[in-house]
Amino acid sequence: MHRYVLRRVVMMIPVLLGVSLVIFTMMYFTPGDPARLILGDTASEAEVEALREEMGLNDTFIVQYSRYLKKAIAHGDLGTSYVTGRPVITEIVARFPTTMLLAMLSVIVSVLIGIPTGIISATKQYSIFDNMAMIFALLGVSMPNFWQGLILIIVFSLHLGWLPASGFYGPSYWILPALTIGTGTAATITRMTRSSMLEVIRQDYIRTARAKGQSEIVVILKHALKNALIPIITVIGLQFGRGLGGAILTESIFSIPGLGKLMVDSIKARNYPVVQGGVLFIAVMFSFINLLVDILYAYADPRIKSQYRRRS
Amino acid sequence: MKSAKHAFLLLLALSMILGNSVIQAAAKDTDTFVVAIRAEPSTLDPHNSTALANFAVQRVVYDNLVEQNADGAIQPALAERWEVMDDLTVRFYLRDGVFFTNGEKLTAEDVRYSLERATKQRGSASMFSAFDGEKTAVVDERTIDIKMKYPFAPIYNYLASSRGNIICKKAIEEMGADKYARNPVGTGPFILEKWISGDSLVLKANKSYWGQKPAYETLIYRVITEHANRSIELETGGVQAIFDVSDNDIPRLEKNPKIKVVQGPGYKFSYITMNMSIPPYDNIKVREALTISLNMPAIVKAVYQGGAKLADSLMAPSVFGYSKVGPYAYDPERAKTLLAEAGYENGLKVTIMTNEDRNFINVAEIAQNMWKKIGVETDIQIMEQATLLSMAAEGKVTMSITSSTPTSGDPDHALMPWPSTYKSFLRIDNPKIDEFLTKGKSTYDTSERKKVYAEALAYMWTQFNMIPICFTDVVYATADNVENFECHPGNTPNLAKVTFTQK
Repeated sequence: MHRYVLRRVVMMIPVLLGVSLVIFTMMYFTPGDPARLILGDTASEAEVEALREEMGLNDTFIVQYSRYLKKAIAHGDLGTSYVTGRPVITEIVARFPTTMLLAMLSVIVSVLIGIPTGIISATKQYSIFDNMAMIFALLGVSMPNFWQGLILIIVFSLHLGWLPASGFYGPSYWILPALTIGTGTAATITRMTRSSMLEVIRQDYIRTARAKGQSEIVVILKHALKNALIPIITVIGLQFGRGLGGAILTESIFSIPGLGKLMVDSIKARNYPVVQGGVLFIAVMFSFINLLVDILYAYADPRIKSQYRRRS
Repeated sequence: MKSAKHAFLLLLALSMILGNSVIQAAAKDTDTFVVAIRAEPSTLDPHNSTALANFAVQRVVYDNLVEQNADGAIQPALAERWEVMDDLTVRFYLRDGVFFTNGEKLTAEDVRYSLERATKQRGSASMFSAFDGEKTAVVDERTIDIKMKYPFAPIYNYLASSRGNIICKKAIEEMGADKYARNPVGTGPFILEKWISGDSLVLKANKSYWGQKPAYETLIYRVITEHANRSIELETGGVQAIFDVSDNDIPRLEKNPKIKVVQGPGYKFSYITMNMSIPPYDNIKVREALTISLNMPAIVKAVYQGGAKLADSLMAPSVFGYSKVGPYAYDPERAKTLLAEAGYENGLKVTIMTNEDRNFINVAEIAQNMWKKIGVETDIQIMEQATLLSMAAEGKVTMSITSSTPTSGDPDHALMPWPSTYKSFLRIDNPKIDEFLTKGKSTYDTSERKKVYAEALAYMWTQFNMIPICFTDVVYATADNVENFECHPGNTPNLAKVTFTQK
């Protein structure tokens, strides 16, 4: 098991190198000059040129990229923000707790809605409830987050005045953004739970459990759900990983000072170091969450655990 | 399974704690004033600062030697009085007993240091290029001779601008510029207490402020980028005032009895640019045809819905030296004749590039239709501001829609895109305009100076170098219990003057 984890961590290195190269290339070829943006349109060409030189923007792609890598690997230095002059790491770390909290809240919302709905849908297949749930799931998947966020703001903030529209200062502020992201994810989890459960409840051991005279609730929750969990965990893990990258649109709509909003603002300002650092950070997070999900499989399914044992 | 559950709970608890540490409650008590601005300041170092969001916060953190009142007139601030020694020297006498918020006493050396730094740092050097930082000298602890490289009439307006903020020499030398940028030390009515990245800035009243002390204890600037959200946040009571109210929201807010809309003339001037170094825009007939074929009063009314006034000059009425020289008469028939005379009787194709500003896009789309009637086909390209600016710097933008906000309120600042040295959107190369502008900036006598600009504007108006659109009002909105919210034309109201009653 330990060796497996170690191997997975080592495998992250080429992934991260690839990510850094791709994002560096993309930013390099995006039109727009950060030096010009910093100085504004009243600055002279000479002033802009001097700043470009100072920022190292006149060097070739290879020189810039290798300098970036060298600093990142040798000193863990991802550069400094062009806009604020602070280290990129500081900028990211300042925003991460907010994003982390939002990701967790939205996963909780989606699990609380998604799993029960999926279970009931599966056990009462083709009933009215099942059809309604599937319509809800279809809507949830199709509704774009930004639209849903705006509708929630208009209804709950503007018209009803129950909840604040922007900021992230406490529970009342968390509800709307968590619902916005959570309901979309819930729809996916509902569908996944339903299909996974449908597969499981037709198995022989479920019939055996029922034949033993166990109550339906125990059959469903203990025997069926636990065995149906693997694909559901995968989906939850992926959604959580995505959430850690900052729910870009949702954070912008609700003015939440998380990673997603930092990325949007930085892309607009051609703040290359923050964008590069941010993407790299998200890639690391994503890889770790994936690893965590794989390890969780082992807990959910003893067969996988024994596979790890055999391999190591 | 159990330990996974524990790990999850632990992670959850951890994030709650971490989350809470960046979270502060925007208290709704009588001692706190919460205002929403549209962008997070990038820095509070006045000499590396080029964004309006920075200026808004700098306004209450720092003071200047002189300041502008609501009508734009210059009045004493840190300097009690001043006298002109010769064409290149103005002597300023500092107020006694002024202290920085770190307890240091303000001296002439702080002023000298601030101004010299202003001539060198990247955010302020181009604006302070007329100031001679090297020769500016301390006379005694409270007297300083400010030297200019050439006679420079805008000196007072520039000293009153955000880049003229006086910083604490000792503080910045001890901290270093990077740290200082987020931990500013000024003499202003408020002290920055906490800066929550991406979210808000919390300031506390300066108990030992030399001027009129703020009537409340805490000032919070909240960053809310979406304009619709700023309005909703005001309507739902989350903030007591908002900056930059969107034109779309004005009618709704005006109908709300709990909200006051504070609207007044601003410095912002929007216009369509033409690149004078590229044909056919080097031909004045084409420029005139493009100008008079637009029914600008209709465009401004349709797009800005009362939030702006039709431009009748090349700088806003609130800028010193303004005179009315327009507007141009709408005459599509004459435009067709002019195009034919210029050799474009079979029509013309133009490309107009603009940033994502909704108003600009609307203007471009209406203009596209109006130009079609005189045989001009228009391609509209919408791009990010960053891309647009660097293309403009390379001279690749043929036509564009842009705006300028001369925060100093000085005509020299307002007419910055006009001289031949300015290489961006317009690329005008007209010696006569250069001469007017040089004369304007070197004339100290205010009535004489007004005359120079009146003459200059009248001449520039006949050159059709740009198509003026409108002067945008500054629009703020506050809760109905807020008083004395200054309607500042440069969008940097002094919030220390605000008073409010408990609801």
